[in-house]
Amino acid sequence: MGKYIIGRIIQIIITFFIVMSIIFLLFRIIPSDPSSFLLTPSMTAEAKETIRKQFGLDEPIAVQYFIYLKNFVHGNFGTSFYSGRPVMSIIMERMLNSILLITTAVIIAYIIGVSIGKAIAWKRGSKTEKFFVILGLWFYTTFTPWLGIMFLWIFSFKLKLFPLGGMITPEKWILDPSLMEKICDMGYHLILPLVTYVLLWFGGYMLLMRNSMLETLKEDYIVTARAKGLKEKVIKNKHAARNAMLPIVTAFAISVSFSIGGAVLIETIFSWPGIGRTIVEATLRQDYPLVQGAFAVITLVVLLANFVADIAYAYLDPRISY
Amino acid sequence: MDTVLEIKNLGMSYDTTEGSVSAVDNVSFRIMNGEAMGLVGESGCGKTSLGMCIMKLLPENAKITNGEIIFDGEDIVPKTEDEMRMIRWKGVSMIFQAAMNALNPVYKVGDQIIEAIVAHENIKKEEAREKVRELYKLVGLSPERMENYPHEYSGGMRQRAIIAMALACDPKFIIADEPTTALDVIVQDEIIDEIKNIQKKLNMIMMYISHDISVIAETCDKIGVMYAGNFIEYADTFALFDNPLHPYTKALMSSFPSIEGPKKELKPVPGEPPNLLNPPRGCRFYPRCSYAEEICRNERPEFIESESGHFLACHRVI
Ligand SMILES: Nc1ncnc2c1ncn2[C@@H]1O[C@H](COP(=O)(O)OP(=O)(O)OP(=O)(O)O)[C@@H](O)[C@H]1O
Ligand code: SF4
Ligand SMILES: [Mg+2]
Repeated sequence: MGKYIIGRIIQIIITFFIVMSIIFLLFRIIPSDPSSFLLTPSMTAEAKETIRKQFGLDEPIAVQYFIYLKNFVHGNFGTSFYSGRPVMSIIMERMLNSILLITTAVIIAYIIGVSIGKAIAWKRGSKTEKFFVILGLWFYTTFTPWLGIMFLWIFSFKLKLFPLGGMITPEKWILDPSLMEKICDMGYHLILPLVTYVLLWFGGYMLLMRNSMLETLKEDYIVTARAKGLKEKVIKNKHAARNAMLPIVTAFAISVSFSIGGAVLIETIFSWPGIGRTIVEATLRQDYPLVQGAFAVITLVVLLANFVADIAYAYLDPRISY
Repeated sequence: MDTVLEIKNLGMSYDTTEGSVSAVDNVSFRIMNGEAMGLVGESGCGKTSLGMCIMKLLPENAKITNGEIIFDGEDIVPKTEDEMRMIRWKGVSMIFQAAMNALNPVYKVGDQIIEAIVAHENIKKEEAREKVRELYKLVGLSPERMENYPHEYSGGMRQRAIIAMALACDPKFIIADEPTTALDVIVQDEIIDEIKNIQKKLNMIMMYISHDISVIAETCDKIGVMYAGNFIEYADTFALFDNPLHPYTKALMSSFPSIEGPKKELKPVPGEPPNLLNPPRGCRFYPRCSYAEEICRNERPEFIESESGHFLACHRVI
């Protein structure tokens, strides 16, 4: 196991390195002048000089590449053109916001999806099963921006139940409210995008779990469990669901990668200052250092999610030994 | 002697897209205290289906169409799933045919046996564990093996563990459904001896399912012969070998010249068994029977006692 983990970590480092190199090339292919994506005309001559030094823009491209890698290793992603703040601190802040919304939503969608999937597989052939399969499919295939905008229109614009977007009410925060009030304000902003995301995502998990569970229920050891005279609940949860969960763990890692695509859409629609929206904004503003940094962080998240899924799988399935 | 299991006129069928498969039909027999009964018949004749009826562990598309299964004085056919839960494993347990997948791959084998004991007996987990240790010794496994997962067992060990599991709640009645098919010959013999010894030692009643009549002859006091879902002959092992009455049984015996002889796939008579979707109206053996007469085609032979303790379903003999 230890050996496997070390091997996997090396693999992650190599993959990360390759992706970083591709990003480097990509960003140097687009514009003609390599300095144009690190320097803006509005900078003072002094500032330009510092940046030139820091990123070695006057050096040949090969040297630039090594400086680029060195900077990444040191966590130096440069400075945002738009805000002038260090890219690293912007990304950290936006990541936290994304985790608050997207990670929470993915986990809730996962728990709800897996629980319903398990229950309807057990009651296969029933009306409840049909209802949830249709509901799940409907949400799963719905166009994300459409649902987001509908919800905004109905619940925020018409019914005025929720804010139109954002993460906080700035007017309230200026008055320096108590922590409790801050949390409530954030929660109030969080609910609508969270619910939208959960609805869009639970269906996928639910259908996967249902299928996996239906397959598992055909296994001989389920007959054994019934023959042993175990309670229904024990057969369902301990014997069937535990095995049906195995492929869903992998699906979870894959969905983390896909959730970033979802994050871009949801965060843009609900003006949530997360990493997804940051990519959109930074791209539109041609804020290359920020886009570069965001790509690097997202790459790392996807690689780590897969790593965690592999370890979890090995932990859940005794037949796998690394 | 007391009757522990009595089956009266049992019928069971599977609903399929092509129609109803009559897998068990007109089956009647009884097993007395301490007896081992062998059930023999070609592949697909309904042996497993009959075993599953007795545990009422039928798939969703199957149903018991008529008859009674009287176990320990009570008919279990009308019993609910909840009532059956009490009977399963404590009353009737089973050594499964497909031992390969009968154990859950993600739990330790010992724990899967302990689970069965704890579900039925009001004892602590530690006592159950002690009992499983004893069972492991009884079936010839080292108790340390309890801590291993199924994939860490060899085929023979897994089969022994499944026997230990079947014995876990001291069942009155045990159904062994071809417990050795997946194993090589030497291990097969060991397991068969093991089962025979344990059955005598613990004085359980047993139904041993096999398509190998020589194995059944070694293991069982009585033999039931099944053909295309029907019971066609049922008698004491010696009586059946001495004096087989049904044409199918006779053919079966002649294809096994000696009990100790080589084991062959059961294929005693030319031709194929009938399609159970649409079985022959009269005797189901009629299309392959060399003694067949006109009456056999139209009228189903009754399953009756032709000599003391010797049951039979054939027009010709009566
Ligand atoms: N779930 C099912 N649905 C439909 N038909 C079935 C089902 N299970 C079994 N059958 C049919 O019922 C008949 C009896 O099957 P069963 O498994 O009881 O035979 P068997 O005597 O145990 O055979 P084998 O020696 O191969 O184990 C066969 O014709 C089989 O095709
Ligand atoms: S009833 Fe007729 S067809 Fe059937 S076994 Fe007897 S003789 Fe043969
Ligand atoms: Mg069978």
